[in-house]
Amino acid sequence: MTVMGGNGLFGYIRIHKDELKIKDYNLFKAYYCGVCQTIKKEYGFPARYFLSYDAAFLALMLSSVSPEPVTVKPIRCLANPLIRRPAAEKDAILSYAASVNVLLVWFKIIDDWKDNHSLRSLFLMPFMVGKRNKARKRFPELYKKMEASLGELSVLEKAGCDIPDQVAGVFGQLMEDIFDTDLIQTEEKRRILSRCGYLLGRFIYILDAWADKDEDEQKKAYNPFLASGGQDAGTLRLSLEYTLGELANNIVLLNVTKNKDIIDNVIYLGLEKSLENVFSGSKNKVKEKQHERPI
Amino acid sequence: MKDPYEVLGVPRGATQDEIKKAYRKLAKQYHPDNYVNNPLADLAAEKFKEINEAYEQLSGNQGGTQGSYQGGYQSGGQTTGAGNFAQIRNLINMGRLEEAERLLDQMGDRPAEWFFLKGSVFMRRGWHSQGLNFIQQAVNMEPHNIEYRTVLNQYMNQTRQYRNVGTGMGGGNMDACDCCQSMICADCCCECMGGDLIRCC
Repeated sequence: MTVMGGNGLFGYIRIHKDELKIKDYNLFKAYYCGVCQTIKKEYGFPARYFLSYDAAFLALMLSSVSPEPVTVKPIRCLANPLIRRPAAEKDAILSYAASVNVLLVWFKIIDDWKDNHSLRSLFLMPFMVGKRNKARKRFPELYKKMEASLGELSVLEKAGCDIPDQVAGVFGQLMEDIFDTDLIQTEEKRRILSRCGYLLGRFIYILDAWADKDEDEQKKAYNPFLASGGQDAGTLRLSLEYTLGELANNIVLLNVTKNKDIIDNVIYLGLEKSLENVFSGSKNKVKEKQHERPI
Repeated sequence: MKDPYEVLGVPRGATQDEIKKAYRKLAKQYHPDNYVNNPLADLAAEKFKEINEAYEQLSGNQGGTQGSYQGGYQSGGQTTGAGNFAQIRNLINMGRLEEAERLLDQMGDRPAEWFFLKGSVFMRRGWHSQGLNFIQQAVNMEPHNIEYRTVLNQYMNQTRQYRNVGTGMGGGNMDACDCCQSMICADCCCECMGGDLIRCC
């Protein structure tokens, strides 16, 4: 298995719409639209297709500790050309999130090709390589770290690593590096965000591995829970909730100046819902559909 | 020195009651027990100290630390273990996990304390499954050891707290127990008013 496979990169980072105030839901959409617009401007129109909620969440988190206010302006969107929708205006943070999105898509394509020799990924490669180059030029250090982490992940998976925490930790490192950006100028905030990134990455990887267990067994693909031979669902769920608990406590330390309600919604409700879906065995809509335009 | 009113998030004219309430809420949030073996524990400890100092200042006329939370679990604390274990505990507290782990892995003898400390290394590193597993093992090997049990309880509390906040935000579902409880309450209220909702209760 690889968490980069399946129907979306992550898909586990989501809002719990029912409990979100309308103004906050609109703000979340504005970030989503903002990242989309930024991808369009910086990487060209079609790259927008691969936008995910994850990049929007990244922008939201980084923005929450940034002293700069977010400007929201109405824009005309191709998905819905009849009305103008509010979108966050491009700034350094949105630009970064856009680039991260592009890089993640690139690595996913490579991964898909290596694992499945999927024709789709072969077809997309020449299309995305130019964009990858541009993003890599802008963020060379990050690119190197991402490449290294994913390489390490591949090695562990091929070797059949039987300690789920260990493989998950590598993916955690990948996310940690993404959140550990020098766009955040306070050392303390950066430290906290890095650790939050790690915990998110670890959570996603383990949840995805558990969800894919049966499918991977049939496909004879690697899965850390197959390799480790038997894991009690109850203890695993508990350890994941512990991870979320630590994540939540760390965000308290962040003392965010904005977007608090949305972030709390994702952390306490959204992620818990994702966890619930996987462990209750509900196959329906386990992951939030990627590039689903918010209504 | 930060403005104590700002630290506690209360306006200047706040009553002692309001100050106390604000203090309790913050102290609960930043309490060291919530940050056991968390690499960011030092940041929480700083904030916790700040909150306590602000509270002391604002209620200082009554004489200091009445009702304020003190201390918290320090992993360096109650060790009576062999010299090596004490050294390992220090390394863990300083965040020098690789060194701590190397020393642990070299040990042939693996008593409960070994499992406890190895588990602590895992928790700090974020390998939570392994960590909880090993610490549970330590508790199993020495059920009467207060330290191991306390730490395990703190982890469980943290998990419970996380779930409670979620439920409080409206994410929880009613399960059978909630339903039954509500019905019993409704029945009691009904009977108080002269009716009877559930005949057999």
